Amino acid sequence: MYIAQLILLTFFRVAQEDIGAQYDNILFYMMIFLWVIMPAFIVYEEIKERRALAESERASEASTGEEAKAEPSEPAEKKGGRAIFGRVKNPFSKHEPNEKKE
Amino acid sequence: MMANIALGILYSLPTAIEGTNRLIVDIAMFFGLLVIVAMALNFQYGNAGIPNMGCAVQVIIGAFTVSALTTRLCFIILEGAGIKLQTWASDYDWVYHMTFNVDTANGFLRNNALLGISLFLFSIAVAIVLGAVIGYLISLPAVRLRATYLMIVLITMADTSQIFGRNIPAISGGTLGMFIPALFKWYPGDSGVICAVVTLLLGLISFFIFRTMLNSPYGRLMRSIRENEVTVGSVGKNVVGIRRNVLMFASGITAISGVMNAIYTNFVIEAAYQRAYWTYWPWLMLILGGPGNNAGTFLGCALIVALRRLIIVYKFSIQSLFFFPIAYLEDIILGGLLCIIMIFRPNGLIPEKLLYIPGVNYSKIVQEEVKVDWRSAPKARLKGGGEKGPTKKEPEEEKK
Repeated sequence: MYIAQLILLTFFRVAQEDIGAQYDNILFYMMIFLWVIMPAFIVYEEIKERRALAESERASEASTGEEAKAEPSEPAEKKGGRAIFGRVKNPFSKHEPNEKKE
Repeated sequence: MMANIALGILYSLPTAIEGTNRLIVDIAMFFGLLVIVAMALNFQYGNAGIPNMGCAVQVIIGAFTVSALTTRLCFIILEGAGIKLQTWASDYDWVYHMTFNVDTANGFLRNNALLGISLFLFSIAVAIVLGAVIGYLISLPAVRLRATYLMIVLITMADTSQIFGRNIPAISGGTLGMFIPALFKWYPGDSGVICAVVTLLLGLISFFIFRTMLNSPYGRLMRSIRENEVTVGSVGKNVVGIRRNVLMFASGITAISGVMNAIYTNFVIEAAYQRAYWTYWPWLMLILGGPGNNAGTFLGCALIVALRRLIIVYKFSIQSLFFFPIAYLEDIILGGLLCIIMIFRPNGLIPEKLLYIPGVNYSKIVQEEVKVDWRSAPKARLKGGGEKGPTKKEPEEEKK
């Protein structure tokens, strides 16, 4: 309510005698607002992106750590996963692609 | 009560654009102008790897659009409206009758806001198109060149555009320059303020356009060209075409700052569009902030513009502090800052980060249940070969 009243009164002030100066006043602060909002938005976005990247890096490190903890000799199929070379026809493999091991 | 307090604050706010307020408007205006140029340069060099040393040619196209096309269109409209102007057909008349004609046009524009706004929009639209055309023309010999030769070609093109403006009075009044109609004359207050607001708005719109493009697949393609154009070419992408598109797009956006500069000063002269100002300073902003990210570009632009305007305004006050003429301080700062940054922070104040695509959940991708066990691959290969019997190569080896 107060804000609406304030805006109305601001516009009423425009209709006073020194109309040019009143417009200048409004535009001057609009300019300051634009000047502030532009870098603020960019900095906010930059921080957001860097945080997301850091988070993804942390997640990737964690998943790599889990893999490293697992027994290195154990094949991927035994762990419930699927080795990436098993998806396509591997000339050295006895299995067909996507074939389930009995 | 709160409204009364706020009203009291509003009443105590400055109403006249003079003194420090004028300096603030000036800094905001030049920040808006140069941030458009610096962002376009970041788009070209920071992301696509095109070292555009010809930003001045794109800015000057915007200014020439206002002086050569918008002014003529304004005069034609005025004559159509029955207002008597002095002859302006020949080069001589164009230069020497300009003051009277522009003064008459300003009187007409004062009461015709719609005409002023229409001419402004016309200037922006034509400048973008002409800027893109110039970007295409300069890309013809340039995009096939490597960085060093490309830079030299673009520098010469910037100088060529100045020489055209200097020697053809019909473009911008030759060496004398020319006044242009005040397109914001209808505004009752100080036209510098509305100019600054419009320029900052255009800068904000340009930022969103560049941001959208850089986050798109095309932006990622640009970055891959910057990193290794041979690889991108080898997978079937048209590297020359992409570089040409980037040059055209960025040239069109850069031309906007030429239009706004002409409207702000109400005067166009080719000497005001030297490459030192419109090419080297944006480069310094880019290198200071850090190429490849918009935040760095903004930071570099804000620092340099504030520094330059403060030196210009207070140069007579600080002259006694230096043993050399203060006129050289700007150039010394340009060279000195460049050296310092290249020695101590070659990646800029805000270095480029890894590519982040909004909307993609990286942690989800990374944590997906896709087990890639590269260590078991050689063993599986050996095991598979042993169980299946001899491989194709083995009989040959046995024979040998």
